[in-house]
Amino acid sequence: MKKSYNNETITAYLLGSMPKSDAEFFDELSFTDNDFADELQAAEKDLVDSYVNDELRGTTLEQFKSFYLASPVRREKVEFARSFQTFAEEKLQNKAEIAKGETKNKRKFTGFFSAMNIFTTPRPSLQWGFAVLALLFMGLATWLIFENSRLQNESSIIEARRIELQQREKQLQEEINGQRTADLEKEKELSTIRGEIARLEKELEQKRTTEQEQNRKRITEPEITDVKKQTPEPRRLIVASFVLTPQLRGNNQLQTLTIPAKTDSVAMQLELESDDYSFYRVALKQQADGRTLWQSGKIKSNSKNKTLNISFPANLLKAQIYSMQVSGISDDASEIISDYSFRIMR
Amino acid sequence: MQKAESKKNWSMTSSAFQGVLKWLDEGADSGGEKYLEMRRRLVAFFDRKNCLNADELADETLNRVARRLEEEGKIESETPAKYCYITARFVFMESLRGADKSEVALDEVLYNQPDKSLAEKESSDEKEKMLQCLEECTNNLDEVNRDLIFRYYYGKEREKIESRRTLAQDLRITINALSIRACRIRDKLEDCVKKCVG
Repeated sequence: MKKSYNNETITAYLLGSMPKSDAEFFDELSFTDNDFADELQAAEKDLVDSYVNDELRGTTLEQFKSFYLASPVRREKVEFARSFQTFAEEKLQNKAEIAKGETKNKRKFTGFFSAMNIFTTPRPSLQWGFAVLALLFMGLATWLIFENSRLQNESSIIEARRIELQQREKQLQEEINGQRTADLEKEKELSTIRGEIARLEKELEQKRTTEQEQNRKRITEPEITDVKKQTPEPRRLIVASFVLTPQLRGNNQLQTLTIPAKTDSVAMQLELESDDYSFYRVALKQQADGRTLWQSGKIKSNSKNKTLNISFPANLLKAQIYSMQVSGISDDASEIISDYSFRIMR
Repeated sequence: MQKAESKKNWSMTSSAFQGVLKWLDEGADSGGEKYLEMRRRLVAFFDRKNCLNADELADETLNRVARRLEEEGKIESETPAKYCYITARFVFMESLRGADKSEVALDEVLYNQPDKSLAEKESSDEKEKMLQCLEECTNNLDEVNRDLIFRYYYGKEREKIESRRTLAQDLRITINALSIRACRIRDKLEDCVKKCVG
């Protein structure tokens, strides 16, 4: 619906200068049309304000004075508008002054920056002072640079040392790993030796049996019975075998060897650090007093795996600490090259 | 004649008043807002007709509507706003005919020399009181409305127009919507000041 009013017609309506029929239409609208009612109210206030602010001129002013101000209710509106204008102006003025004050404070704050103007103002003593200060700062800066460089060098040395130690640690770790592999290989070999010993024992048993059968063929039947009665049942030979490794530097832990009861013989395989001699001699010594309990003859090493194989009666060993001393024998002399300490448990 | 007498002696009862409120609300509960708005429009109407007793005529109009509602139970011929307007026109014409002694002709009003009386009334004490009340009433407004009303009335002529345009832009509303919003805040303020001044 097209709007049938504007600011001009509303003003005319408010000032009673509108034809009667139109005025009646606006009367009705002021009840039935909410938008019109709102605009009418707003326009009335603007009109009153314009009067209060001395903005009305000519016929409008005349009509306002003669018609609008005729009503005491409307005069009250004018009175209120006047007071409100005064009040609003005062408020806005106060607000503006407060804002101005804030700006002033801001300027005071920014005054610090304006103090920097001293550099552009010619003041010789002050400028010399600043020059000296600048030199001092430069000296300080230089010292700091050198100090920084020195600290950097020290850091580099420490870093290099750290890397070196790390490499050494790695190397040792590798050696330990290698040792572990070697131990495993030795265990394997030991198991082979045990197998071999068992085979030899079996073979020995078979030979003895064969020998007995041959003897039986040679004697008569009753004799056989006597022999059987007189000859004790041959006991099985019990051999305890061990592998001794050269003691590592710094490793004070003794190898402990457990010898089962009724062991007849002890077989040992001694690992050599190096195989530089043609012959070797091994001596079993009691560590408490250094007494030699047993000594081998001149033996050759197993060049394949740099080991010496020895065996001696088990009854030589009690539950204490012993050492197996290995001497290398050359053409003209012999010298102790290794010592294998171990503890016996029974 | 008897009927006319009973009409004259009729006074608003509580149930009749509730009936008017309900009828003006047209099904929605406005909490009495519609009634107050209708009364404001009636007072403004009678005032524009230069009736000195605009408040009384507005109440008379609403009484007649309430009585009719009580008698008939309902009014369906017109919308509440239109029916109130029609009734108000009758009341106004009656007042012109002198049926109501409080009706005053425009010519009589003009004898009052408004500017002169207004100037006389503006004594410094009254002004002071009014400003005190304004201070009190604006403090009662919420911050948004207080800021809006001051900014709306900032400046004169060109400056005022520019200020209002900026304010409308800030609030993202049209100038027209802004003026209506400012008008409502000012109405509240005016009512408050009237009560405060006494």
